[in-house]
Amino acid sequence: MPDVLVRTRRKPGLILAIAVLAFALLAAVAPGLFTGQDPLAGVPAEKMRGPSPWHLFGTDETGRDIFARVVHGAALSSQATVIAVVVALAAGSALGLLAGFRGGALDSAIMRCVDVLLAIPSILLSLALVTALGFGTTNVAIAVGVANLAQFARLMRAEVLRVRSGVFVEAARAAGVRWTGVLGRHVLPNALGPVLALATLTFGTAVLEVSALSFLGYGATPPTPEWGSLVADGRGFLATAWWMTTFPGLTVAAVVLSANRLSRAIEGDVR
Amino acid sequence: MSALLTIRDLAVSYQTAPAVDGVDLSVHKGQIVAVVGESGSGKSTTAHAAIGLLPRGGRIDRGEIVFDGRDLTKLSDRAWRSVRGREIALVPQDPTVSLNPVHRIGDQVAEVLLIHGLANKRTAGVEAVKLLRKAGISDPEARARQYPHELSGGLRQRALIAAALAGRPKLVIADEPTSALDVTVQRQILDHLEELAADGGTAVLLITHDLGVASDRASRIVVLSQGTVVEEGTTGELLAAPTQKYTRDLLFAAPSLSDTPLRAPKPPSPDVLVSVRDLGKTFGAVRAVGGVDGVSFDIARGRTLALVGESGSGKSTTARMILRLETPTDGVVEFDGKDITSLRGEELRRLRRRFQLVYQNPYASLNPKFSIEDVVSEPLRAFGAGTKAERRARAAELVDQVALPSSVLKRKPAELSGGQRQRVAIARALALRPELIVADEPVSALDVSVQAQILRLFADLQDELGLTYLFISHDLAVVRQIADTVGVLRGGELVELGPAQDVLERPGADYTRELLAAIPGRKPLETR
Repeated sequence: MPDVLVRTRRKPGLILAIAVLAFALLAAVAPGLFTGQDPLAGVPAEKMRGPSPWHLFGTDETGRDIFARVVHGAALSSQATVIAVVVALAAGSALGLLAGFRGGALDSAIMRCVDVLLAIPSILLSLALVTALGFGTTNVAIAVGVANLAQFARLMRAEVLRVRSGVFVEAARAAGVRWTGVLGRHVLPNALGPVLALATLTFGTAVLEVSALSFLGYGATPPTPEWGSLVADGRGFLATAWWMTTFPGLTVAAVVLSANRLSRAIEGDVR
Repeated sequence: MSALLTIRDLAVSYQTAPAVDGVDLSVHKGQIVAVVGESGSGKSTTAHAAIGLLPRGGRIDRGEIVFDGRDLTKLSDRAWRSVRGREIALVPQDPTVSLNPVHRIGDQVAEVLLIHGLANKRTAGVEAVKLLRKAGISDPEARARQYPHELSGGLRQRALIAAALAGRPKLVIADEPTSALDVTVQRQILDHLEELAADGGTAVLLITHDLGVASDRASRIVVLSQGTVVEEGTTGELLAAPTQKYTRDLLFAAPSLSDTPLRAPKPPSPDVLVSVRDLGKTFGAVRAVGGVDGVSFDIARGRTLALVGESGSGKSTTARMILRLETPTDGVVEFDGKDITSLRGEELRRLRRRFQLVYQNPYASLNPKFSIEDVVSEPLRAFGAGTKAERRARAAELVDQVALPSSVLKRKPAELSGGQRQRVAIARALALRPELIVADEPVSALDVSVQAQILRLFADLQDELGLTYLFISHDLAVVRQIADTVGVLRGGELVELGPAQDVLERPGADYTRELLAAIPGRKPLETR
């Protein structure tokens, strides 16, 4: 472990990325740490103010502090991201595991469905799904999760096929281990590493897609703040109040880039 | 006469770990010198240093390598290129990975000629065919147009020899040139190298772990251990009167037909545990390599049957059918009087506690995520035997039974040596107190000194626990140590079956005689 720390210290970009993510997560759990202002109640006298020491990100058209809204929006946005990744990871891995382990007709059936999912751009697919499921943050999260499960299914299947042909797996079978035991104790633990690395990579994509759907208005109902809807709210005032879209947008960008940087570091460690 | 190659006080290290520390040896024109040692002894590192191909991170710390009057350690990369292939050539160990899979054999040999300007584009093809013929490949015109995957291991190794000889080198370094090949093929390849030295005056530095090979082919032997020369001398002297304990141990450990078996073969017994009748297996429509056809034999309780054959003879397939890891296409397998040929599902699983398997490769057969305790107690878990504490106690008992310290229990397989891992695999096979243990080449991946220990362990466990063994091996010398009955397989058919002594000393089939004659290490036996 200290070895990992030493290597991390030599990468300032990685440290910055971890700091940004820690900041976002902390904001999601305890927004009160960063801002004392109410994200919902506006002060009409201070509407449309630019960035200042009192309002770091400025205020919106009803005088609400945008920094407070971004901080409070972290909870919903990161919650949705986590649900999306968990759905994609769990459902995708389960399908891939089943396909790779059982093989035959079931494998073909599952993987052709996965091919269909991969053929449709994930943002389009999640749009269609959220329209069917109905609006709301949880539904957005599930839609994004389902739209991303195909990659997990593919990777898991490939890993299972690799591990399954290993001699120690046959040795377990020859020793009389039941197929459930072979799957759970021998195949899964040895196949999981690369799949978990993909999960961290998917965090970035999921933040972006959840924000995109919320930008389009499928997320939480106003005035509840969400990163995507904050960008959308400011869209009409871009010419007069640039800070209303810019700061929430930069927040999303910073989190996505940080997640990608971190996942690259983890991927390197897994290999 | 001065030596062609002289290595003086050579030391090579990887990062900070020394691999070779003070090696001296010399090779004269037309001479075969063998460098013998176990894995990790530094023999390959010495060879690679002599041809300037140390892997990344390897560094020559001191010493000199004088070839034909020049110190090779001082050569630049550029100067090396005119030496490598032209004056010193390498025959690598593994013929499957040493040829480029996307180029034809002929082109790969011709490439060497073109690089050294020994032929032009027009003549290179013809010259390459000539070289392939000289390397003992029949129908070289057709072979030259084939790709590596279309050739057998023996033919690929010959193609590599042809490529090595293309530059008409003065010295050929052969790094375990035959360790991946069957004994009969091994003999042909080594014969060829020997002819080269005798006729062409080429010097050969033969790197091998097999003292038998070294004693048959080399005029001088250098024994390496842990990066230093333990002993050096002419083959006759060294084998007749080794002065060092290490050499004696190595000689003693090397299984050969001259040795007495570990214990006297047991008399035949009427109590049959496994009975196989007309067993057959086809892969796909045609009978392919590894298929089995009409094999019948019995294994008596408490006895050892060894199945012997070269790669592709169907010996592993036969064992796997008895264990029902493969389903036979024809024939019947009976275990303790019960027909298990078409048993499936839970009933088959229940039966698995009575027959267990030990694999060839101890590096692949243990789950890398498990601790040794988990590995050994896994079969117990599978059959719900005992509580967690009882299973742990049994694991400790088993580890002790295979003579491993109890400190290994908490370790992972990667932290153990090959011999220790194979002991763990045996402990796992013993966990359920099975009646039959099938061992598929259990010692062929291990160093000779470790081989002897593992074979001794097998013999002791049989005496102690009354186990029945089905022993699969390509090595007749190993088989002689342990088998009561020997069956010889060729192309999926059983060509000979009988008591071990009869088969090995008075073989009835021509093929068995051929196999016996090909075993290295027989020459000193005859002259001794």
